[in-house]
Amino acid sequence: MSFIQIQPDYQYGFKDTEAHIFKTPKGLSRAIVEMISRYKNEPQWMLEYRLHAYDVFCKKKMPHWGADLSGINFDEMYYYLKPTERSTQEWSDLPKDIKKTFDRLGIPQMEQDFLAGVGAQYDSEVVYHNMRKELVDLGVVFSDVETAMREHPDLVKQYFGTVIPSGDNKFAALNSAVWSGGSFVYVPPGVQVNTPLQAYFRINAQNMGQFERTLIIADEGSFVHYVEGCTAPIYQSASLHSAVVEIIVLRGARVRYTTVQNWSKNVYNLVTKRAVAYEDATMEWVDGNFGSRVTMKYPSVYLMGKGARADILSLAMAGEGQHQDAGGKVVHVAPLTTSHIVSKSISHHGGRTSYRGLLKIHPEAYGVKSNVQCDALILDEASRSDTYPVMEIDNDDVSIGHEATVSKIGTEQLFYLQSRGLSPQEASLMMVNGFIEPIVKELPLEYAVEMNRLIELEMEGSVG
Amino acid sequence: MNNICVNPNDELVVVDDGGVSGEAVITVEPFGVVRYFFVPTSVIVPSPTLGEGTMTRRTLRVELHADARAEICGAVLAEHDSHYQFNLTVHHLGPRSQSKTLFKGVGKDASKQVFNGMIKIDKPAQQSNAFLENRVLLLSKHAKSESKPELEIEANDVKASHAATTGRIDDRQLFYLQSRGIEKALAQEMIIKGFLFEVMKLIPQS
Repeated sequence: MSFIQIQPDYQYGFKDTEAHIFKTPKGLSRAIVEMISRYKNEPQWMLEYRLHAYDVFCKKKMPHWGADLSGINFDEMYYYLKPTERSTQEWSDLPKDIKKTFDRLGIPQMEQDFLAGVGAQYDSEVVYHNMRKELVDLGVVFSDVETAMREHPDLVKQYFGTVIPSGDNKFAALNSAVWSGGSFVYVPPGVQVNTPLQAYFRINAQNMGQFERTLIIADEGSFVHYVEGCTAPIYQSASLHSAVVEIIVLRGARVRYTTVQNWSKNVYNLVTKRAVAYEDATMEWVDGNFGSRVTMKYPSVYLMGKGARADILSLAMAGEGQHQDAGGKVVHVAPLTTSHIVSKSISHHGGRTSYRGLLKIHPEAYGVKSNVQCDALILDEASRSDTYPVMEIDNDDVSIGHEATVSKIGTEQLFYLQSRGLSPQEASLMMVNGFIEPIVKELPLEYAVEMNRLIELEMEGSVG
Repeated sequence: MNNICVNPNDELVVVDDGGVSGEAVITVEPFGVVRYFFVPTSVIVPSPTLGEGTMTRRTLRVELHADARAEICGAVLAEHDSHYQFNLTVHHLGPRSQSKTLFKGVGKDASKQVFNGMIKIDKPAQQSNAFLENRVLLLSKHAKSESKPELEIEANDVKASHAATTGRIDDRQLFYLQSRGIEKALAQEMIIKGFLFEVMKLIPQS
């Protein structure tokens, strides 16, 4: 099998031999969509939903306004691959190869040490799902969406596709047609889930498309922190990851969604993430993008109820051959809502980072406060950085601020650190770590350590 | 407005009253300086009818060669149902070029103003310095504002930044003036004048 070393220090680039029990033929057609739905034994409404989405996907044009997507070939891809017979709650029940993968990624150890629940997806299906017993007793639900469709059909039917309809964009339509796996989370009123729930997504097969679907519902006054991590092996041909994440934050609830995206550099990562926040609810996105060839992802929040709040922290790092087109969107529909977006990006070795954002204030939304801050660091001559924010303001009783800067690491600062005995590399690394500190300090400690280490690896051999 | 070329080492002041909508390019040769002001007449002579139903659109591109400098300012007072759109691209082509942009807008009644401001810095334009600022005051529920400050930076040894704010008149400022015996309407006018004066005072008197 062809295997190239594009990314010498990508430590998750290993792959296991592909063993699957069911795989759809290459390419996408109506028949494939029907095949997936039949194989999953779904209710009729879901099959219809998928087929409608497939039609939308065929009609919609590729987005032309963002990153270069010409490397995606929809006909060369596999849309569904089931790696094992069933999902389990015991790591030891997993087929050896899959278990080995997750052991190497350190997931079982992390679960023991500091997580309230873990879901692990391998290609198209969730193979492992488990949550602490006390949370199960409180009525918290954490499962894959297929299971939720069987066990909580009303909740799924009520909310599925309501935040992101299949007509939203081409890739949301694609996901709606062939989705598989992902997480379903329901937190009952007043329940505080104090340790994070984590989902881990792994693409193993070559030319694979992963289309997980996540639906999180935080009932009134509840709290949950959901963390996702992603890695894939290094193949010469491109893989596609196109997820849809829908979050409903009901009155007074708070949801934090943290992503540490570290796909290998042959993955197109085109994800639609959106939350609706009702009265006095808080939605927080913490979005870290390090891997992938191209990422296009703009986590958004619709503030639908008085006093709702949105916080978006976005961190992107682009190296050789990478384009991170990330950002955030906030739509203020209700009065007295507030939002805060902080974006930090670093481009090096010819990488390109773009911030793309939207801030929209509806005419009924008075008393709105919003602040957006984008900072970019360019570490060398070959790299590039862009900022594309849009502000549409239809109400006078608002206070809106936007600020963006692009710069390099200051020579004076580097000189000072070197005069204190640091090498140029150490000094640059220290500056970069200081630059992203406002975001890293929001992460759970274990992830903060991981992120700092990732940056150290990425920056090896680069001098300011 | 026609296309303009500023010769090497020359300095040019352009005052644009927005009279005719259209597109223009200002090219600034090495060590040249351009000072451009967009001041539609309604700012100078506010009148109850002027601006009504008008649509003013200007698309301006400023190209800066090595060591060229540009100061780009705008003051817009949008009343009634008038509509202003300003599309600006400041394109840094050569090294050590500098640009500073300040656009201020006041939105009254059912007016709408759109400001698109792009700073582009090409690879050869190292050691360039660019700053863009867009400040909007909205005075009516029905006034609308859109602001799109953008950056496309391909050189690493540069400084580029922008800032944009939208809000209404600070209640504390109004309260202070009223406590000094100034009527609310007049106080509001004074604050608007002061707000736009930051741009107006930069226009050379000759």
